[in-house]
Amino acid sequence: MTDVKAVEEWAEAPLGRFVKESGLRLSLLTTTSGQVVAQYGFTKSLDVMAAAALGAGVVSSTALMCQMIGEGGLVRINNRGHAQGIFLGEFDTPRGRHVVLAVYDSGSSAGLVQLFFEDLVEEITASCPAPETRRVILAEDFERELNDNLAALFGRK
Amino acid sequence: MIVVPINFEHLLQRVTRIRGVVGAVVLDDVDGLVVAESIMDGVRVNAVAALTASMYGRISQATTAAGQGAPDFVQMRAEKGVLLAMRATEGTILAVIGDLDVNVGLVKIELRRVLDTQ
Repeated sequence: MTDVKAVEEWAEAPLGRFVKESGLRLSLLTTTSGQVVAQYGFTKSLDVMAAAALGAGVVSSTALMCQMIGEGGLVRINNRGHAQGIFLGEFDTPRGRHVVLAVYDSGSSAGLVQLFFEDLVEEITASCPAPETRRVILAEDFERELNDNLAALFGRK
Repeated sequence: MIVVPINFEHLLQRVTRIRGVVGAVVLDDVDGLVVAESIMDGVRVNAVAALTASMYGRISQATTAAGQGAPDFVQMRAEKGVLLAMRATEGTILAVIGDLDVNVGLVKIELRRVLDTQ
């Protein structure tokens, strides 16, 4: 299986299949606020956090622009560069809206990524459990939880 | 990049009129996205486009590595029919889905006729 690091276990296998079938170089599953749920290919915590924040920001601002012109629906963005392309897509899960960022090179294509993104959405919707009841995060627990999540994302757990 | 302006709808009409052809799609060869299509219900046209572009690219790498240059026609015979892929214009590929007894030569001739008259 592809070496996906996940904070949430339900995201690991679907994102792994998406990465493998689409032939991705990098991939990231985040919430709409940029909180990382799972990642593939990132090696530095700074890179992954920056990519998550930027990806969520791009999707959010595009969604707002779409609303301004009267277009609803979920955002799908594709940018093809000379050597690599970036795909950003949002979708709904039982735990709210999530964002996928995918970076591909000449071994893949926008069509392949979009095709397997549809499968990813189906798989995650099926595997994602209902939201847990919200618990209060205490200040003394915050740093430990943050470190645990970073350790999970970079395979240090 | 598509550089030749062409009426793809006309091309698809002509090709799908051939006996044994059940659907056809023009796709971007790099992105694998649908440019124009005439496909029957129940077929995931975006899947056909994305996977055909990927396959065509890989075959192109193989034929080039073998010193034969890029392919201009690929024919795959499957259990229930055939999938044909051929260069339509620069930047586009025509994928044709047909029965097992489709006249492949006629598909190629029709494509050439349409392109020559554009």
